[in-house]
Amino acid sequence: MVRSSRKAISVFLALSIVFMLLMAGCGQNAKTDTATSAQTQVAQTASTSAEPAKAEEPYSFSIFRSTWTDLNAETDPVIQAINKKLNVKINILTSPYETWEDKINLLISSGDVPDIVVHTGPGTGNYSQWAQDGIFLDLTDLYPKYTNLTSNIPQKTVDSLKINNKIFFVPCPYLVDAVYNVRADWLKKVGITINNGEVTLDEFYNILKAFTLNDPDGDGKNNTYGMLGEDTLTFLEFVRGAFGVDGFTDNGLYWYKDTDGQYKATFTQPGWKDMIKWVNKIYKEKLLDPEWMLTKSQAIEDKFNAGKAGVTAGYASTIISNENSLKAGNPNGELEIITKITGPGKQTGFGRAQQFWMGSSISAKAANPQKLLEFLDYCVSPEGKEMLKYGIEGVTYQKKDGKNEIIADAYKKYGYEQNAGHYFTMMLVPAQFNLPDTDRGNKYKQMISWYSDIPAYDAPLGELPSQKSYITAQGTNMITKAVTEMIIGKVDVDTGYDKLVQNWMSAGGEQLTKEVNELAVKQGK
Amino acid sequence: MLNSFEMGYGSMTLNQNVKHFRFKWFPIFNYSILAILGIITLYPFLSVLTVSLLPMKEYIKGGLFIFPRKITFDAYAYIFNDNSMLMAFKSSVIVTVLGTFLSIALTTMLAYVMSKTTLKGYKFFINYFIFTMYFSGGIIPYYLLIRNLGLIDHYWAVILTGAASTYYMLIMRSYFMTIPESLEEAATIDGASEIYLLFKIVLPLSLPVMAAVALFYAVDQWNQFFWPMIFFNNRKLWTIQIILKEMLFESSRFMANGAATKEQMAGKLGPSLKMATIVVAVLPIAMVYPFLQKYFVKGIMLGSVKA
Repeated sequence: MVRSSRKAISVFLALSIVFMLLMAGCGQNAKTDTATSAQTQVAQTASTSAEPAKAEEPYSFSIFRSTWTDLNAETDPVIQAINKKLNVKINILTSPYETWEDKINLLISSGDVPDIVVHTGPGTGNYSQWAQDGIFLDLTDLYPKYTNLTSNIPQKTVDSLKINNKIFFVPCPYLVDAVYNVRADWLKKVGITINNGEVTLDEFYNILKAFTLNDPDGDGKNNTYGMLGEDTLTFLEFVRGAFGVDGFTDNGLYWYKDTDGQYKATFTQPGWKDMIKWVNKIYKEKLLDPEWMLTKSQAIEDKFNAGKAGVTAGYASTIISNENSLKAGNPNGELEIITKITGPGKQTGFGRAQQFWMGSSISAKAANPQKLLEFLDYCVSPEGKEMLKYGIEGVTYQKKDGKNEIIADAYKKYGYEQNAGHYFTMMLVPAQFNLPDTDRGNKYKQMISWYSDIPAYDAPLGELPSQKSYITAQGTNMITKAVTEMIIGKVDVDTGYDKLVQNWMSAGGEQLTKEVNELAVKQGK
Repeated sequence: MLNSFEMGYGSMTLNQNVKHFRFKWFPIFNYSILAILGIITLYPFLSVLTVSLLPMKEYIKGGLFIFPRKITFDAYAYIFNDNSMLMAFKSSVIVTVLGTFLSIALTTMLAYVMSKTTLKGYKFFINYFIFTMYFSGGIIPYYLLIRNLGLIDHYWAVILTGAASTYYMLIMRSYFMTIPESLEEAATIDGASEIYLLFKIVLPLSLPVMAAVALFYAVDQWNQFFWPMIFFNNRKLWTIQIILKEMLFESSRFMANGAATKEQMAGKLGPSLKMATIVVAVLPIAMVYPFLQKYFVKGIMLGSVKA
């Protein structure tokens, strides 16, 4: 009796384990079931609070984004003002900056899509999948109705981000403001002047040479380098431009349209080889920090502020704070910027740029998407812009001699940023907004104004079918590693470069190229 | 000259000296390797502590950080004046203290029951609990569970997450099983109820294991990062681990647009601020160890039942 019942129990347990494994395997379906039930729950709560019939009820919606300030939706004066003005109730879902992608992935997978999701657009891993799955609302019809948005955001940027010719993402136009930070005090010491931030490649080379050999910090020791670099090669932005190429993160997943109309990987552009040769030259002559390939971005700041080199990659909008950090250790330190390096072929600047930094998508389940777009539209209206930059008069700023003067204590209390104002300004306002309204700030604004002519990166968006296996096969570092080896001279540039292209092709690059061109046809690009 | 003692033991001492000569190498190796390991382990902490006390100028000079050349408490002053740090501290303390108490209560009671192997259904329950050590529902179902219970943005979401660990329960159970049955039988004969048995007899004898498990739980709760990040939407509730991660890994360069007032201050303080945050995050838990030390050492049963 006992033995047979024991057998029955073990059979039952075995079957239940098999059943559970099957359920887990068909997890997708199971997940969507729970997801849809959760979504109806969320939609219900949203609609009960929206109730468009009763016009008086404020529309409560949630915004998700990462934050690094102490913003508090209940006490923040700007948010209170917006709530009153638009008859809404804003609820902020935050996450630390480093891990926001994990959190939004989890939220969306479990069906809890926040009404407005602020993310990095194509840079967010699952974005195009979510757009195509209908998680985000198609804004193609609604977007043109909001005139503040359309007049403030360059249409070419919005177009470059369309998926299947539909708008899913309202970008925050970010005039790229990458520059080279240069020690102005060192320039004075070695007797070189820069003409309005523009140099030729040869002039740049001379500056680096002077910084390395002519003891610009005046301590009598040969302990300075021309330029700092970091292991991810991002510091080569301007140098790339001088050779007429672009390259972003060089992981082999960015594309440019060649003269024959086909998309090819950016690192196969002509000019790359010459660029690598040039960097190899300055590395050999010690104009580039010999430890560049071991340096991570955090350490670069420390090195630069310690006076180890005179040129480093930076951003125009943070130059004042960078200078303050520099002065902490070097009281005589001053910074200037280089905004253009013109190469031997008269090429200059960046190849293409993203032209935006983060942006908003609206959930397909949002109860009142028009209201949400109204909110975004308000943030870029003249009134909204003013309020987001300065805050509320009397609380966070006061008028003095016709100019707005911020109250530093209030800024600190509410977590606003000195030159950027309210953190909502991250949402829909160009970066140039953030340079201070001083002579120096205006000078820099003018120097980087030509960046708005840079064409947008408009290759087909979306994950390619063989992308995942390509990434695991060579771990997105293949190109960076090969370029690093060429720069430090471990491998000869000519042979090394051809070999790199060959390796990339066989590691899945050829397949990727084919797929991206197919995608281009589908997306009409 | 040699006294009688040395006369008698003289030859033995000589022998011992010879023995000693042959075996001296082992202690030397032993001590030196252990010393090196000790230094390697200790140096990072010392370095962190030192940098947290160094003013920016001294840090820039570089070199080995073992002892601060000049001491400044600016970084600590900044931390304790900064609202978000203090709130994070408060959050972490609440989660840890409440969490540890709850965990100990649950774990002890379950372990005591599980130590009675003669209970009906014992096998089923013990396998049921061990099963959860190997399999769990997954991240999304767990998130949905907490969400549906309405616990988002409450401390309980995080406290419950770390509340019961089967592993620690098994540790306590093993310890309870070493308490002789005769002890409990003696108490029962004298008229003790089950509750009395647990609280007045078994627990006082189990202080070492309870202290150890309490410490494990406290460290686990204090170190929680992922679930607080997911469940706390309101920045006010963030624990110190999240704030710490933010401080250490945010790349101010790539944050773009506008330096926060915080960044400007942090820029002046530089790495010492990050190190000070580390110290503040680690020190409270490290300080709990000495207090629980006496419970580890005490607690050998002192002849309670004569067999």
